Amino acid sequence: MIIAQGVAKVYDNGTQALRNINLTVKQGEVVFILGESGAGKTTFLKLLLGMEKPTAGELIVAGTSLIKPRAGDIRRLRRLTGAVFQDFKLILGRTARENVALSLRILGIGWSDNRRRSKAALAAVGLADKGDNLVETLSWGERQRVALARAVVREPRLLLADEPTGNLDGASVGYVAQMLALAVKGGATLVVATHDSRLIERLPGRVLVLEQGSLKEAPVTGREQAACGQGGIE
Amino acid sequence: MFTNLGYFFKEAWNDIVHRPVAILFSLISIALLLFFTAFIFAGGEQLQWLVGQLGQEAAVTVFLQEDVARSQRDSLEEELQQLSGVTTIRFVSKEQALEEMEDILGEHSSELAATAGFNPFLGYFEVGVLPEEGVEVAVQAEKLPGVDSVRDNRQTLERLTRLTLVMRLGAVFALLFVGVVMMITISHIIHLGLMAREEEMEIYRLLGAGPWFAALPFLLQGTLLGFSGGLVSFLAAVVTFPILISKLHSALPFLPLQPGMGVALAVGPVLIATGTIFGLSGSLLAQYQARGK
Repeated sequence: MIIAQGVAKVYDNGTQALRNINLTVKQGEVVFILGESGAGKTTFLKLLLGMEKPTAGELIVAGTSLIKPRAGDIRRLRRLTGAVFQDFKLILGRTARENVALSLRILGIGWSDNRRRSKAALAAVGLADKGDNLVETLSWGERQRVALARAVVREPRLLLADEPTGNLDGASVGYVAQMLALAVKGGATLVVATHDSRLIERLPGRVLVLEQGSLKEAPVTGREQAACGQGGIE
Repeated sequence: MFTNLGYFFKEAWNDIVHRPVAILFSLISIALLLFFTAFIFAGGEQLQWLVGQLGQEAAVTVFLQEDVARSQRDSLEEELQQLSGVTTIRFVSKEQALEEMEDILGEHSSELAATAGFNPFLGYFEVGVLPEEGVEVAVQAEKLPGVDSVRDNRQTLERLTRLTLVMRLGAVFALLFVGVVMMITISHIIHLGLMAREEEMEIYRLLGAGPWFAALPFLLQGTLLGFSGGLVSFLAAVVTFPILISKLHSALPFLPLQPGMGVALAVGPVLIATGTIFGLSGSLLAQYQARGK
């Protein structure tokens, strides 16, 4: 699903966000990327979604090379992907359900199916009764869950999540872990940028650490190690 | 794209509802511009009608000299009947000519009182002719004895036809001018909408939407705005043209004018089509500008 070879990213202002990233993630794998703020986690996810271009190396996601992609390739990749952004990127002035439904609408899902799936996704994140609320009236935690519902409702092949539990209490982390686990069970590849151990504990997967732009294998617990093993850092 | 057609209409409508004042002012501007054009078109339409009316009445009027005797008049009528291209012939005496003018002038006939019993009209033959032979009939009739003068409506028709052409050309130029102004107005209002929702467009793109997904509601909005402007100007024409033309008819009673409603109905499709086409063009221009940025 993801092949990164010698990937680097240097921003126009000279900041080196990523350096020599080598990584292979197979379909259905779960990968956690840990790292302090500014370590490059968000930049890496942006590269995977085609929001930024690598300045060096080769990056292939879902068969699409992201070095010099065409607009159509990026669009196709994004339609296969569900993304939870750190700043949620919800549309203000719309209800929670409208935000979730938009994700399916873009895929051309018909009205009745869309309505049913959006409702179910919101229920799955514990927001069944808040579907008609405008997103700006929701708490940060609730918004985060709406963003997650929007990402998973389209049953993506690749699910990218940037700090999906950053604003959540323990119970809500449970909802999120459950949703992510369901998506993986449905065949999605999951890449999560986080430093929330509560999530890592609930979801088996490979744990990698980004330090000053470089990716390293994390010291993992026995349970996590058992869940790893498909791909790896080369 | 068709799955979401209802959604696109809803989005277009939502945006209109969110900035009603700006949209209303644009709509008024567009409707006024089109209404202004409607007047020029109406002028052309009226002239065309006039030409049609006069063309149907292909006739030569043969005025008789004052002192023509009854026997000379009868033989003149026979000679006229024998001319090629003559279809009908009717004699109108001096008295009848005066009466007919009084009928035409209607309430203004009192103006004829100024003649104080003197009848200024000549007796004449109204000769119906085949349009293509009208000139020849006029030439031949002029040579006949007892004839004072001959008048055919060919020159008038030619002048009116030329005037109609000029009027129509003027209307087309006016339409182009108004269209460009409309396009700029609509593109501006759509561009503002696009700018206000730039962040939303970015989210669409991140979710994998193609360019049409974000663009279509705005294209619909611009088209709807242009269409509505055309419709409003058409309705304004339906209300005002019958009144204006009726007033014009009172002032110029001898001029055959197309009824106001007929003119409004003839001009209506042009107004609506122009509004719609330039509304769509304005939206496309706004999209093009936004993409450039």
